[in-house]
Amino acid sequence: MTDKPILSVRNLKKHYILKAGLLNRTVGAAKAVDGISFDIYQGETLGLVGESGCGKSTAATSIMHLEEPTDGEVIFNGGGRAGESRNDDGTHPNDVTKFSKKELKAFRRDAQMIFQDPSSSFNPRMTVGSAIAEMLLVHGMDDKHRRRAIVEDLLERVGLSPEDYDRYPHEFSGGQKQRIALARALVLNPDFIVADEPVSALDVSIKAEVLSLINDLQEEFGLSLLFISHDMSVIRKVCDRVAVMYLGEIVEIGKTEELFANPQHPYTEALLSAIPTPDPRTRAQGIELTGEVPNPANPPSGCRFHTRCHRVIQSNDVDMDQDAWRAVLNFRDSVRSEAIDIDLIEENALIEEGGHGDASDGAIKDQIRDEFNLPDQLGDTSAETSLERALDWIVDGEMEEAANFLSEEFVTPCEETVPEFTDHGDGHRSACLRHSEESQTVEALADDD
Amino acid sequence: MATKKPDRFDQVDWDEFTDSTGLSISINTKLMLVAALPLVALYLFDRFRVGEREKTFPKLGEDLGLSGLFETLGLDYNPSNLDYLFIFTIFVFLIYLVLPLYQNPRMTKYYWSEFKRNRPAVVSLVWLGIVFVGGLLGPLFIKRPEQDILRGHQPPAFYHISENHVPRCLGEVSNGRCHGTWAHPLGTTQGGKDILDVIIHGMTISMKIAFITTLIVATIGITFGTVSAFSGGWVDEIMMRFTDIVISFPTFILFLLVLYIYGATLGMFIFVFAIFSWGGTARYVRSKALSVTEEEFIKATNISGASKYRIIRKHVVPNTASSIITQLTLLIPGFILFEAQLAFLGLGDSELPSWGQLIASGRSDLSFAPWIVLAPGFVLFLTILAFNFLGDALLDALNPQAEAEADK
Repeated sequence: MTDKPILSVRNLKKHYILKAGLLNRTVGAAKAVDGISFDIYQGETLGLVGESGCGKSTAATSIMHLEEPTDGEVIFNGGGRAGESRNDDGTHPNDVTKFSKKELKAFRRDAQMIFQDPSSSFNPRMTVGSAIAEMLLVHGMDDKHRRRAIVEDLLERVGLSPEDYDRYPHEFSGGQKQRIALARALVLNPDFIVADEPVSALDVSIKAEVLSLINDLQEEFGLSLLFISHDMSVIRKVCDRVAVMYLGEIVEIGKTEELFANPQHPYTEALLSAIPTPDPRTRAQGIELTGEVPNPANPPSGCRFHTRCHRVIQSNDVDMDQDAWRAVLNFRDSVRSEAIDIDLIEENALIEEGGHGDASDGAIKDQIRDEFNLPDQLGDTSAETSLERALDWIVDGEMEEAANFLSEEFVTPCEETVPEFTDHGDGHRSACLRHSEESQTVEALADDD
Repeated sequence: MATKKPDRFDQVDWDEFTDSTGLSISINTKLMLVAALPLVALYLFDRFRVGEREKTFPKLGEDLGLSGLFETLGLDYNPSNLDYLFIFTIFVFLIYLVLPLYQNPRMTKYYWSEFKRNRPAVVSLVWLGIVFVGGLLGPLFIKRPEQDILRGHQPPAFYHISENHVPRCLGEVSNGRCHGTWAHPLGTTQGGKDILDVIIHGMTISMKIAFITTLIVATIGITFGTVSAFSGGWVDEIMMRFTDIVISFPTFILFLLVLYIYGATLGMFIFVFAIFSWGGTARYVRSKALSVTEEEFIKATNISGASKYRIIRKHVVPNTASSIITQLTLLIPGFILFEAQLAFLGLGDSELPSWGQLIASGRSDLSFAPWIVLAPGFVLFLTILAFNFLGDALLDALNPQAEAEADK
């Protein structure tokens, strides 16, 4: 019983249908959450981390059934539902996505949520006390005095005074409002709380206070938390386990200490390197992610991170500096998406040369290499020849030719194969091709030499 | 956990609660019912029991066997349909707008502290208060002014005109000039009606226009706007296109048509213009409701398991209210001004003691009796100005969230 997770999310998907045109035709779907799975155990805090727009909040609202998920299961075993097991047809009686209206209302009592923005999470025309008490009223507690007593007690527990019951949201500071939000989430005595960036709108000192309050309450009432944040340092403080999300997918999940000490996925590495260190003398050794965040409506093939990954795998017949390889791939993608302004490059080349009239081909090529951080000479001879050939085409204005050629010549396995999860022991798993293919690649390189 | 205190959130046994909708009848609704029931009863009595040529209250006294009492109290009113509607509207105003201010003293204090920063608005509020009370109670104490040719063209107190213009001067006559008296502090019209009395009766009419149109516009506009915002899809589309039609409808032409067919009563004016003026409000409410729905507190309420009706009633509508109140406050002067303009053009009910009619009746005597036009004109001007100032100040005062955001 105890090892049964309070919440298991299985292959949860939320796609937003994109419509365009007069007739509202469906033109695609933004895959905000695209098949995530994780478990949360009793009393545990799972952190969900990722940059803005990666689908963290959508995951939260889908789990809470504020939005209907497109696909997947959310099995909630809290609130005395633990005894249930799977039906014969494979469905689960505790699947939130299939709850009836009545079951959903009961679920609302056992799972609650805290929102990011303290300024808009309270009705400005309602006293905070009645906003909290409303939760009780909605679930049938008609006794006005009892509601008030419970809410006043709870306000004290979150560090406010009972007199605050009759005050309005605008009379509180951001930190106080977040405490009240916590009280509102707690008042129905839930087993599970989703905290969607609860402290990211707060000042540093207040942030710490609210975090420790969350910790205390969690210990006292045995709450399980899904803690969403983009801030690794906050995650480190409050979470037992962390799931790292990128573009609608979970790329790495594991125990907090393990994941922080030994990140397996390059994206996790990049996130960790972005944590500022308190020592001003150490220069930030941040891994800079190149390339743009891809559009979730049209995610990259293979591993979704390959367009920005600093450890993107080199193809078998290539051997060069990793930075150069990244630069070549970025260059290829720009040519493919026609993001190169050749006229501008020519102009810049001419300025560099200091000449008049037309810039020489060589100067233009140098300028292109400059702008895309391509080294003057790639470490790999055959790759260098190919690149040179593509540059010639570009200078001649034959972009399509160049794009096709580059696409053929420079291929990374990352864009062809969807990575599977690799287990690193103790529940630490990551989805990166390097782990499944590392040995293979090394062998291949050895053959080349 | 040792001592059992029942009033702690983690010790509530939720199984003992039956699932309720979470909606109970508020004290305000109960009051409204108590207030409206006798009114409806009286209306029905008037409609079915009282004859065409009978007066309502004397008849009621007769039926109740209290004729004597009614007579001594001077209860001889004969309310029209519009009067019933007006009184109903006043009840709604008092119970759903004024009473909540008393019920939520903290919020009221906050609104007031915001509101009083705007001095002209405070003066406007006082003036509108005078017009409101005058309009509500004035007709109970002041008889409707009657024609009396002999008393025509009396100048106001502290003013004098040539004796030639006055049929019979009531005040002191010196040097061939007739002085005004305190019997008619603002003078009289050509027909001998006391101008102050007409202005006070005109207050009633302006208040009727203000309150009844507001009630109609707000009811239709808010219902239409919220239903449209929450239905979405083609329902929304159809409702909003219908709103477009209402907005582009030539109301004035329709009113002229109605005027020629049925005559230009005040009720007809209010009805026609109110029925075609809610379009802007509906649009406004819809867009406001849509933006409020995106706020996190709506999500939070959703997560509490509250019903959709509760969310709309308790969270969405109150948060659109400030903008609606502001918008309506700015709509009212338009109606009052329009009534005056129509009256001036001779397109109104000339029997009506409205400000517009008073101005219209003075236009031919402007050269020697300017007070007939000036007094009601000034009152009309002040009232419209006051509504505009009030709307402006309410916009600032009723939006605590904007204020809180500005403080950041």
